[in-house]
Amino acid sequence: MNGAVAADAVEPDVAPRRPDRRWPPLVPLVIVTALVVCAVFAPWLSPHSPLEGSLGDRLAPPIGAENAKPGHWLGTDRHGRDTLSRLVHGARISLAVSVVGITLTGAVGGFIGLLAGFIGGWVETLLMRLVDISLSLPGILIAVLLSVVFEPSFTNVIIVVVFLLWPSYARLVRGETLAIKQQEFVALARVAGCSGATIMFRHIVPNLMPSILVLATLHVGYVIVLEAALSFLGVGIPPPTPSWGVMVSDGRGLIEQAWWISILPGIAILATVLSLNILGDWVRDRLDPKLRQV
Amino acid sequence: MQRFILGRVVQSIVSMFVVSIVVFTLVRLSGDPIAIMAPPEASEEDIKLMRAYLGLDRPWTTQYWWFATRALQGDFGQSIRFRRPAFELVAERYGATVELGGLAVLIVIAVALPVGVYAAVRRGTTLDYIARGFAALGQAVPPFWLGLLLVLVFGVLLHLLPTSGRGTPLHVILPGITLGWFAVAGLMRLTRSAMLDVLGSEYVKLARIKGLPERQVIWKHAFKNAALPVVTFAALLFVALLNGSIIVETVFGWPGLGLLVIEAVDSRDYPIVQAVVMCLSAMYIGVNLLVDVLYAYLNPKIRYSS
Repeated sequence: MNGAVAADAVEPDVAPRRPDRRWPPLVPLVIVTALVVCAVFAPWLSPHSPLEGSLGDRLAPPIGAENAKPGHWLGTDRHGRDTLSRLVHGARISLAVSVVGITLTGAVGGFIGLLAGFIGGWVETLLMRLVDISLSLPGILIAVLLSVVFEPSFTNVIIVVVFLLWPSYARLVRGETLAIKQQEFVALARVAGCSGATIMFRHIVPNLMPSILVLATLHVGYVIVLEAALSFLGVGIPPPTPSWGVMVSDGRGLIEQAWWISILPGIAILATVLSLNILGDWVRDRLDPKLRQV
Repeated sequence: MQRFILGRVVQSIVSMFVVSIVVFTLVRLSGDPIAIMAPPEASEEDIKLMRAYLGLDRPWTTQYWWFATRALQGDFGQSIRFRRPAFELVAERYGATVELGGLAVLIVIAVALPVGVYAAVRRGTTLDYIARGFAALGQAVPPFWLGLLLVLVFGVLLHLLPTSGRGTPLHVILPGITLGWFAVAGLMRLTRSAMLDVLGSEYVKLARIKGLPERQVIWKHAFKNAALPVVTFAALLFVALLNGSIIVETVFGWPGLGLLVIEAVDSRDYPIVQAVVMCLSAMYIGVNLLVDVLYAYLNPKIRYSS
């Protein structure tokens, strides 16, 4: 039971007047688009290598400050690596973790929820108990455990994401499946002689997609913060890979001399997550107003 | 209600069992503990002896049984780094984590509840907008970064507060704020929306028509009824605080369980990681159980169901 998901779950926010919701909010949309562009075209967009620095340019402040080095717009870190380039490449990590993590989680959690809802009986009881148990295990500790057993890695982060989020998908999909199962087209499919598997995947799954998509968009921001936090603790993406969390951690000891190393990636995380949350709310309101109460 | 509580107790025990299995399996998967523990000059014979001494030649079910029974007695083995029983170290650091968590809870309650309530009462005013802005921001700010920002502002620039370690009461302020921040945002948002629901109800209108003082209407009539979802969420936040404490302790060098376990990761100190994971999980699962029982008690729908 993690705070972010719980907070999203309990938000029957009744605003006095709803603004026009047909178009997505512009500023967050621009920020997220920029992020995706950075992530996809990182090698072409970044002015320097994210991994190799020149020691002559160590700890240069951002442009505009005293002693700034031309060419390093946002300064450099203690190895002389360009902050801007690392930020741009960091977007790649954030995007990769959220896309891979959430797709896997949606598939695993969704499948389990589908089985539980469709089959019912003891299968349902067993699977839903598993959901309850999973919700009562602390996620960060699992990450710590994984990284002491195996080396910290991308895979560990994905495992933790799946582990933390699959219960929400399982719960959502089970509920939806129970409702869809009652509908006439399912009964007709059965009469027409469709097998259980065909009914599940051809007839029910397409109807589940909107809700799953909404939940997924709401989770992206959370996953980005989670990855950054794990990497910051040294149990996520290992350095020198330019994850935003790794960057914040890199600048920790240097906060007095070189604030930009830690503060700038934090601003990147903040802007991204805030934008994603606002867009996620918009998608939810557009696609599935029901979810507001879930 | 008894049935409900009994079910939850059984489930908590199963959860703890799952945690222990996960810990046990992962640690066994990580490779041969002998490779870490034995000195390089150990002979074949010595290693065999050591293996037998540690019971590593027995079937894994037996090993798990030993592991579980020892863990229940607080025996998690010797810390590799400190050469002391891991549980002793956990017990030593426990107090610091509780102190930090306690302060964070105080901050959360003292800030989130009143602001949430008044944001709802004065809906649409500046206070409301500030509160809602803060709530949105609060959930997007990564806590480890907020901690560093506070260090930069209050420690480096203003020289007002100590930024690392534990000692004077001043030391706990920055970590406390960092830890509480996220929870303040969540609880404030929830309190506000719970209050908005209640404030529109008939009995609040009646209380107002009766001419009761506004303060009494808000706190005695409205807030009491808005408290149920708030209680559940407050408890969830406590659990989130436990998770957050690992991050905050790392940022501020606060000598609690979180710092202990993160330092243990670096030196691959399994016994400590095992001990901390098991103890924190027990706390986590225990709090969850307590919340559900409390909720069942507060919620008449569950209280009176057979």
